[in-house]
Amino acid sequence: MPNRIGLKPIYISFNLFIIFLATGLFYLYSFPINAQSTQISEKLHKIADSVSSAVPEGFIIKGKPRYFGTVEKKLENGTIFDYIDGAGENHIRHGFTGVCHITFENPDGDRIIADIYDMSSTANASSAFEDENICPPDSVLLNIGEKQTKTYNYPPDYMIYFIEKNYLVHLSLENDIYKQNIEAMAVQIINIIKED
Amino acid sequence: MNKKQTRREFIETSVKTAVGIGIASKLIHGGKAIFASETKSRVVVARNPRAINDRNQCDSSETTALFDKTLYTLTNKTTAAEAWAALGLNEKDIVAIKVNCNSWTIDLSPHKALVNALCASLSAVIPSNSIIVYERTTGDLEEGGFKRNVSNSGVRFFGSDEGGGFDPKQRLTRIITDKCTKVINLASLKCIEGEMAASLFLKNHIGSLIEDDMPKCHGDQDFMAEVSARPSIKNKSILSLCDGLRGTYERGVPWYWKGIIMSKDPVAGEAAAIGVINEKRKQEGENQLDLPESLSIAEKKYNLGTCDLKRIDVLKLEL
Repeated sequence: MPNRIGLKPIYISFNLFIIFLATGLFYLYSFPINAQSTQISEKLHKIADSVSSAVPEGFIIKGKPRYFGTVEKKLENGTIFDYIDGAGENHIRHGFTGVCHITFENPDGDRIIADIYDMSSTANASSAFEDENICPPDSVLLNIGEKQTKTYNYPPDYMIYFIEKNYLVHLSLENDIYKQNIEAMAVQIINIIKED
Repeated sequence: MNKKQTRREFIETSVKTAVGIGIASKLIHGGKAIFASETKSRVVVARNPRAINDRNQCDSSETTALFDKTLYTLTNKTTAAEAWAALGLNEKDIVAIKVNCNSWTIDLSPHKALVNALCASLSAVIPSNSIIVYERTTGDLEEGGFKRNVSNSGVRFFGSDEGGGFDPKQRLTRIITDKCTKVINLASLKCIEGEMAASLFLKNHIGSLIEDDMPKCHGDQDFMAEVSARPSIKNKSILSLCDGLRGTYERGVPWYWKGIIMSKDPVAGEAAAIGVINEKRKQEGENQLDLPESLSIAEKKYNLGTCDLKRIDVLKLEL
């Protein structure tokens, strides 16, 4: 009997130790990831809020902006593979951490899609911009404001790619009669990111 | 004498030989025809330059004509009812049509005019409400320009997120496993280069998978083929149709091919579609795409069809 009483506190202390250890390890490993993923999401949310107000006249935002992260750090709507499928591997190679996808539409059903990719550094954004698997080779270089952009006119589509800070931005328009409108939108997005 | 005999013999021999060759060739031809119908997969590669203009706008009646003519050629029939019956469709069937509405960079969602032509044709046999056009999510379908419809009237349009969940054994949307009795694979002519070469019939069904399994297809050619070998897809599939009205011949670069590709055999259909992409790549001075490994795995390991060009009958139609 005395032996049994003596062992009980040791047993309880051991269990508590294991619980504390497990909890500590859980926070140690999961908190930095969650914190980082939240930080990426917050930054993209902030930019998305501003971009949503930079929409060309006659267009309105369709639905809510959608956010996609990596397999390790998913954002609200999942991973990049949920959005662009296998081609997402190309972005991952250049340090991709998250993308915000916003759709605008006018009453005729013409859409503008704005994708803002966080590539985690300016150097990564540049290397992604030069990757022909991301920006196809037959671009027409165009200065929009002071920024050199890559543009593509595949009637009726018109697309613009550019980089600002650690972001790669892709604007896609389904009706090229609004070409000038999205070029103006590009200038606004550049300023939004600069001020961020 | 020798000469006469020789001539007579020659004439006799010639006549016998000619008759013999005639009979033999008829037999061989007949034999080949029997062989072809038993072992060759038919793929119809059809174009109609009037079906779409260079601003991605379809002409409904020309697109319908393109679809109908292709279907009749594939099945050797002259009406929609006969053609669908030949494909195994009956009036009690529920048909699920898997589309691909991935709109990243260039929108290659199936053209509404083609979806309408397909649904109108099916309506010769089944009520339109027995047709379900589905994608991974309803949102994806809407991004592709289709309006959600879950009512009891008209063709239904919704995603797997509204399809009653996923079958735990086959790990496929219940739209395929429980709701439908027949499946049509409607892919888009999309070149993605690299190991996969193109995103066509096999890849289209990645969108029928439970979400957690979708990334498994990246770089796993066996997995890609195996998905289409799951019982609900393999046993219920009656047609593979590729929308090439506007496709891509290199990643992200659109091209108005103005045609469709149709087959009962998804592997043969995919091989023929890559052939179409390669023709354009040749014209543009691009390197030729190899057939992806997933196709030979689909043929040899899962018996889903053939990618052996000698066993594929490609019929070209120009409207």
